[in-house]
Order: sequence, then structure tokens, then C-alpha cells
Amino acid sequence: MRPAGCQHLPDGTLFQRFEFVHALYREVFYRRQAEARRAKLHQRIGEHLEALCSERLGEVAPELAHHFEEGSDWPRAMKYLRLAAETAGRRYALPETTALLRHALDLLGNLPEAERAVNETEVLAKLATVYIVSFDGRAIDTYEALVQRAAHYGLIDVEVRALLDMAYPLSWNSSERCLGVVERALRLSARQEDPLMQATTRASCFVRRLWVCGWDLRDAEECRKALAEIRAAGDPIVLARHLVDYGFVQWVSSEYREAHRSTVESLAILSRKGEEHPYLSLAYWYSQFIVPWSLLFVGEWGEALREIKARITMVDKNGDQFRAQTLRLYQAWVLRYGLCWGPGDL
Amino acid sequence: MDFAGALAICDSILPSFQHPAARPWRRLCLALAGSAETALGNYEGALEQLVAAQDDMERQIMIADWIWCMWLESGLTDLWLAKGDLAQAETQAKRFLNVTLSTAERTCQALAWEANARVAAATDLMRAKDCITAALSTMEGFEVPLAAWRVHATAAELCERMGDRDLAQHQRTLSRARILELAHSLIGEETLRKTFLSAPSVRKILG
Repeated sequence: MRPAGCQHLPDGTLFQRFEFVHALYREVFYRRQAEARRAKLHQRIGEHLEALCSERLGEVAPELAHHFEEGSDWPRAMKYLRLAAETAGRRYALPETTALLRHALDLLGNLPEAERAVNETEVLAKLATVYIVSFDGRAIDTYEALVQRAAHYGLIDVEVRALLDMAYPLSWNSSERCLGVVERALRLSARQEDPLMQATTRASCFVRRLWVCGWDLRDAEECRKALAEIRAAGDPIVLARHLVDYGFVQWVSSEYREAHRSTVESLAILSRKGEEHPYLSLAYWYSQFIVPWSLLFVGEWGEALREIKARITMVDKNGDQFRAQTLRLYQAWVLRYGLCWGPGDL
Repeated sequence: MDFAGALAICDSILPSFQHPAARPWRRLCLALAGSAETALGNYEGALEQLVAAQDDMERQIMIADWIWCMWLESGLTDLWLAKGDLAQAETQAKRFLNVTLSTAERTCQALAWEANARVAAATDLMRAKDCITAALSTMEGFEVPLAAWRVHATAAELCERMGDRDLAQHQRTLSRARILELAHSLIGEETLRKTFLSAPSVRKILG
């Protein structure tokens, strides 16, 4: 063994660190211990670390998850794996987030039955979102698994939400398949007990129908009515999410300025809530086209271009090549139809 | 006008839209590239890109196709007009109008009426007048600056040709006001602002 420097604990205590001179020694000592003793030690280290770092659990979540998994403390292992995934998500470390969530799914079978439903459906939902924002085709399979598991557990609201979120990646390949899940969600909404949940489902269904089926005044009206119910319920976060969605309806109804204003204000509300990295929020991605498109149509071309450039800079920084290309496409749209088309220019 | 800029972007990003999940963006990219090619006078290239977008849409309907379709029909109308094929332009302009009238999209509807007015202007001034009147009434009560300056510009030209100088002047004044508002939105983007203000159709209005 040899000293490996000092480290401050969260409470300010200074402690000395030691390490094996070679990783092989560490491995031999580790493996020579009986399995039960090793598990007990992992558990004790985990508990000690948990108490010491109680104010900064996110930072040590991967270590905590490891110790509790080795200690066979499955509920805590799950808790810290999910926290580690959330922390990685905030850093937009998508491959790491995906790996942590997939590992969490592997551990599900060890959880007590009572804790399985919530953990399984929440982890699947988060994983599917990460796949969507990464343009990964596995999003659809993951949502299908989520729909099936939610139905198995009798979680109707989760099942409906999964169908609605699955509609977006399905729409990249087929309007027909997208419409299929939307209609299914609409039928299931009759079984949702909470009137607010029913209203959110209806609002989402009608927006998605407009995405893929084209303009329909009745769908737009139904959407408007559902949104009024959501507004009356008084939850600003739920309302903000649906206003971003509704921005599309406003845009295709030629209410460009209102679409822009309401989307930007709603995003600000969601961002203040700050529970997740905007990249992992579907509302953020839906806003990515509504904001520049509405600026283009309302004649705020300079702002449209600045908005697009700012978003390109951000996605380039995150190495998100595909997203950057879609934004460049919108930039070309502004240049072509905003700046470049008049009867005498052809 | 920055047709070349738009085309350069489309050419550089089109290969990234080959992935099956990227097909909705590929369609818009083809439609934009095709219409920019038209503006640059590369009619064969334009037709190739626009038809490729059309074929894609006919093969499999996807998200937002009904929106891209309006811009595609608009691009095809401009292509036939630019080539001087009035018969094709007329058919295409009607298709453009029909797809927009099944939506609530006032910018595209106004532009479609305006495109029909331009097509008709070559052979039937009365029909051109009806079309531009429809374009003007489509815009009433809506903030549609993307269409407004063009509709007013075409209206001014038609009024001039029909001998109504006062109305032509009025329409020119409206178009000018919209153009200046749009140019104002480009403060801070000086190159683009100059590009916009130096476009032939804009210069014609501004004098």
C-alpha cells in the first residue's frame, strides 16, 4: 500500500487516502474474501459514503450504486443507478445515461414486487426519451416494452403517455403507424380516472393527429378545448408542456406570433423548473422547430437566424451532428423563403 | 438574394438525411434545394430535386408532409414559370392552390393565389386580377409578412398593367412598408439585409 494524497469530506474533515501499488494486489485481496463478507463490506462502505455525502449524493451516485449492488441492497442500488443516470443526463452524456439505465433494467428482477412497477416504467420511459433525442431507432421498441409493462401493471396513465410519446419516432417512418398509436391512446383515455389526465391525453392526441393527417378544424377545436381544461386545472408545469405542443397548432393556424410567444414563455417555465437537462425534454425538441418557423413566418428573420445559430452552436458543442443538420436545414429555409423569393427574382 | 447560400447548406446536409429515420427532413431539404436551383437557373437540377421530394412523399406519408407539400408545389410552380412553360405552370399553380386551401395556412394560401395571378397574367388579366384579389382578402386580419410584400408587389404590377395607377401606387406603398419592416428585422445581419434589399423584386418596389 502507499499514500494517495488527501481529500476533504463534505463536512470539511481531511482524510488520508491509500492505494495498492498495483491493481493486481487489490484484485487478489478482493477476490480472496468470502462472498458474504465482501457483500457486507460493500454495504458498510455504501452506507458510510451515503451518510458522509448526503448533501451531494448525485456526485457519488455511481459509487453508491456499485457498493449497494455488490451488497445486494437492490432498492438502494436502483435508486443510485437512476440518480447517476439523471446526473449523466444533465451533463448530456447520453451513452453513459443509456448504459446506466440499461443496467438499472437488468437489476429490476431483484427488486421486491411492490417496487418493481414504478421503477421499471420510469426507467423505460427515461431510456426511451434518451433514444428519441439521440434519433436512435430503439426508441420505438423501448416504448413498446413500456406500453406492455404499464398495461401489465395496470398503470393506465403511464400506458397512454407511452403511446403518445411513441407517436413522434413513429411519425419519422410512417404516418399510418403514428396515427394507430394516437387512436389507441384516445380510446384508452376513456379509462383514465383523473379528468386532468384525460384532458392532457386529448390535447396530445389531437396535436399528433394534425402532425400526420393534415389540417382538420375539428381536431384543432378539440385541442383548444382540452387546453382550456388543462389551463383551468391550474398546474403551470403541465400547462407549459402542452402549450409547447399546442404551438404547432397555432403555427399551422397562422397565429405565428402567438405560437412564438407562448412557446418561448412555456419553455422558460419548464426551464425554471429545471428538473432535467433541456436536451432530455421532448417539449424542448418540439420547440426547436416551432420557434424558428414562427419567427420566419412573422417576418422576424434576423431573430430567426440568430435563434437557429445559437441552437447550432449548442448542439455542435454537444457533438449532436444530426440535430445540427436539421437546424441548418431550417437556416436554409429562412434564407430561401424568407430572403430569397420574389416574383422578379426568378 | 441568397439562393446560393441556401443551396450550399442543402447540398452539404442532404447526405446526413439518408438514414430512414431522417426521411421527413430529407423531403424538406430536397424541396428547398430544388427551389433554390430554380432561382439560380439550373432547371434540370431543380426538377430532379423537386421530383425526388414528390416521389418520396408518394411512397410513404410521414410527419408534416402536408406542410412540406405546399412548399413543394410552390417550388414546382416557380420552376415551370421560370422555364416559360405556361401550361405546366397553370396546372401546377392550381395544384398549389388546392393543397393550401385544405389548410388554415394563410401565408401559403396567399402565396398560392399570388402564384396563380402571376401565371394568369400572361394570358388572362381578368383572371389574374381575381386571383390577386383573393390573395389580398386571404391576408385580411392575419399577420402574414412573408406573403404580404409579394402579394402587394404583384397587385401593384397588375394594377399598373390594367391602367389603374392610383391603386398600383397604393399597393406599391403597402409592399414597400412590408419590405422595410422585414429589412428592419435583419438589423445585425447586414450582409443578408443588403442581399434582401438588392433583390430585383425588392428593388423594383423600392425604386
